[in-house]
Amino acid sequence: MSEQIECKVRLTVTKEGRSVYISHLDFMRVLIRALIRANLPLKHSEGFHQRTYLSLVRPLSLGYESGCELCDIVLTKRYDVRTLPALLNPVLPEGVRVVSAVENAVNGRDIIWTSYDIVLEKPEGADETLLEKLRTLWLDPEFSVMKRNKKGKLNAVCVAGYIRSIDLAEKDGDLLLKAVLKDSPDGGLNPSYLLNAAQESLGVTLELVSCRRTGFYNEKGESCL
Amino acid sequence: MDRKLQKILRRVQKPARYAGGEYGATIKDKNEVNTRVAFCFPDTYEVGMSNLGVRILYAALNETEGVWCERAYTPWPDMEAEMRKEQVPLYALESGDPLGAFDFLAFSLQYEMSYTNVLTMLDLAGIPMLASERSADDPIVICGGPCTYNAEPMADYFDLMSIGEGEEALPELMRLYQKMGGKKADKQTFLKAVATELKGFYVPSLYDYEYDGAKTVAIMPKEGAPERVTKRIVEDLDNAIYPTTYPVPSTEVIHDRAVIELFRGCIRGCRFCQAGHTYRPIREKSPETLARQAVEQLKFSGCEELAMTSLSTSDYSGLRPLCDDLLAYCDKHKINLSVPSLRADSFSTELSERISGVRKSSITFAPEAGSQRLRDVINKNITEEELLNACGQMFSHGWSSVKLYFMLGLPTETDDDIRAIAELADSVVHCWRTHASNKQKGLRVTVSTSLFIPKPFTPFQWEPMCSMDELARKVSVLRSAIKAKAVVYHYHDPKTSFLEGVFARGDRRLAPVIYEAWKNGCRLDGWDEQFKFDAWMLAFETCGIDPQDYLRERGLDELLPWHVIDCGVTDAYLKRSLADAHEGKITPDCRAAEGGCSGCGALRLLNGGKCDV
Repeated sequence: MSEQIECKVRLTVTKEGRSVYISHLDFMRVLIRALIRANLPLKHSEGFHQRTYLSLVRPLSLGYESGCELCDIVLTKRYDVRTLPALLNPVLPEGVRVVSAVENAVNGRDIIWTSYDIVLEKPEGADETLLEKLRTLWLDPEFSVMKRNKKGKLNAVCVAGYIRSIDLAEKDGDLLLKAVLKDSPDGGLNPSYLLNAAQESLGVTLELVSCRRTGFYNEKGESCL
Repeated sequence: MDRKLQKILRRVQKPARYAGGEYGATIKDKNEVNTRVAFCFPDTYEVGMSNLGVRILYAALNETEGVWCERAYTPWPDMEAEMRKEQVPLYALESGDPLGAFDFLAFSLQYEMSYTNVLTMLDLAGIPMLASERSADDPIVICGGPCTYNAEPMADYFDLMSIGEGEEALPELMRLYQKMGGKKADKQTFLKAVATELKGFYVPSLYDYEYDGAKTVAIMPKEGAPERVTKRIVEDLDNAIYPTTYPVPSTEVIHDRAVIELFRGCIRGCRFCQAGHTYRPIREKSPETLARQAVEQLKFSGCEELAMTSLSTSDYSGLRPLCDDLLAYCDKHKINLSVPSLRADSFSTELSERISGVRKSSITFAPEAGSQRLRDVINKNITEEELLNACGQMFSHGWSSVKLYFMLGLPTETDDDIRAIAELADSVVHCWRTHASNKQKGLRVTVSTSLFIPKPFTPFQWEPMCSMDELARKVSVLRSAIKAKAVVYHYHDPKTSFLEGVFARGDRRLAPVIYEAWKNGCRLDGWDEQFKFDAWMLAFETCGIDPQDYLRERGLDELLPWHVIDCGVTDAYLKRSLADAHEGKITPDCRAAEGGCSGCGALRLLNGGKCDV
């Protein structure tokens, strides 16, 4: 009896421009459609409702952009995966591009940290102490937020262990926040918690201009891309 | 996309429907076109992106030299509120440009309950709603779609209406516009040229109407406009434009699938059915064309579902060879092939089984009336025996769920006819007990009733519509009569049907009512959660109009407000069919009729040709 060949591929995909408004589930559908258009030999699940195997290693919040979404697929025959970007890019919507395709990628469970570049509108009337106040708030070892656990229950969670680094500067009249936040299979911290905390603790409304995911890292801080 | 819009999109539900950027959307350089069209669908993105007509016309316009056609949809109330607060005008998805910058706004009127959405979109675009108040700098506002067979209630808001099929008509309109110099041409001169030089366009401003009480007594064309505007048809569907590439939604919509249109028109002549009359004459596409269009669409879109669409799919003469071709392709590529309801009298278990494969979900029939007497009145030529035969075959092959569609409020209907619906459902249950191959799965029979609206260009157009109280009473008669546990009953709300009836049979005097209702906050009236019946009634009261006037019986010699339109089927045919209805006589379908023609008159629209019966 011959075994079915399986070729596990990790695609690194951008999600930019107008595509940032595509939800997580819809994004999966968009990618599946593109794979079908490219006529790739895709693996499907068994049973009545045969589904194409596709997994996004980490979800991305609606409205956030990314240069590095990780999408795992399985092909049912050997493939030169280097050809996949050229095959897929012409059949993807605006803002979605395959940057690379590799086999034998890092296990998704090893991804622990995500880095973001976040642009915030500087609040009107904000003085020169704002940046320091925000750094102090976010880097306070006692800083906690209310988070829902997997059962949906709200708990106060100390986020000290969820922030690897925070860098805050002013740029072109906006605030530029570079953050490396926890994003592990067991839980993580969405940048929106930082903004909510600023509102609740400092009474400062930080209007988001853009939030871009820029990288994934393992426990040691090594890039997983 | 500017920062203001980005901020708004972070605050609203389902922002992808306002973002554009879909695979397959047509992007052109605006400096290289001279005519810009915004195709405005007056409902949400999810509804509009599911519409086949829009797909076809988007392609037809974008293939016209010098034209760039983009899309716009009605925003959901949260987005409308944000746009007003931030003063962001309604824009087209492809370019993001405000609708005021376009040469044409083209609305598709699919449903009377979308009329207030037209006003929302015009207002959000900063364009005067009334055609008479628009300047030379404003876009020309046009409409098409099934409601244009009587869009008189909306006539004051449109510069012109495209009647019938637009694939050839709209490009002709664009070419005339370009020839006359585009925006440099005087608008009234252009509209007059459209009315007198092109076929199939109705220019409301070139017609005066006279009323006497509830009645229309005169329709007076001016400046050379034709007495009646005959709809346009596409004669050769095999060679007509049909898009195999189109904007593929990036977000969930109601119907996200590849679609092939088997034929236009219908042979059956069901007396309540407007589409069955207004889409005549019957024109089929060849199975070869359809198979090619299906495969091209599937390859382009990556869709996993293909739908065959028409008014009566089981009457398509090439159904079997087409299904053979398509099923082979679909099985290989794991694509779901779907068909709408099949007629019980031409039902084929073999066909249904092949289409549904191993999975047998629900199967749908539309008897429309519970008793044979009433089915004969409405010319739905299906017998109880045919229906039960079809159900019996189904049950013996493992199906366990049936949907049955009916109407309430049909002409001559009695309570006995209504109770016959329950009896028919009971017969289906009994049939299951006798034939089911697997009773352990149980049975579910869903009876669904909609409310009859006597629509223009049907034999019943002269009949009155039941009052809301009477319709509610009929619903309760049926609810009391349905006793079997396996039967579930769903029914439509009479209030929506009431308004639909008023506007379907209305005249221009309803235009201010629509505006008042819109001012009262009526929006997206086709959505249950948005529908505000009291606001509509207040609008009628404010305007001093009794909506019941439009639901009354019309005299056979009365001038109907929609008489200015000629849909092909003659008044003489409709009156004959109405007389037969009252005698309980059926009109055979076009294939069974003497000489292979029921004599409806639509044949004259074909150039020396013949209906594909």
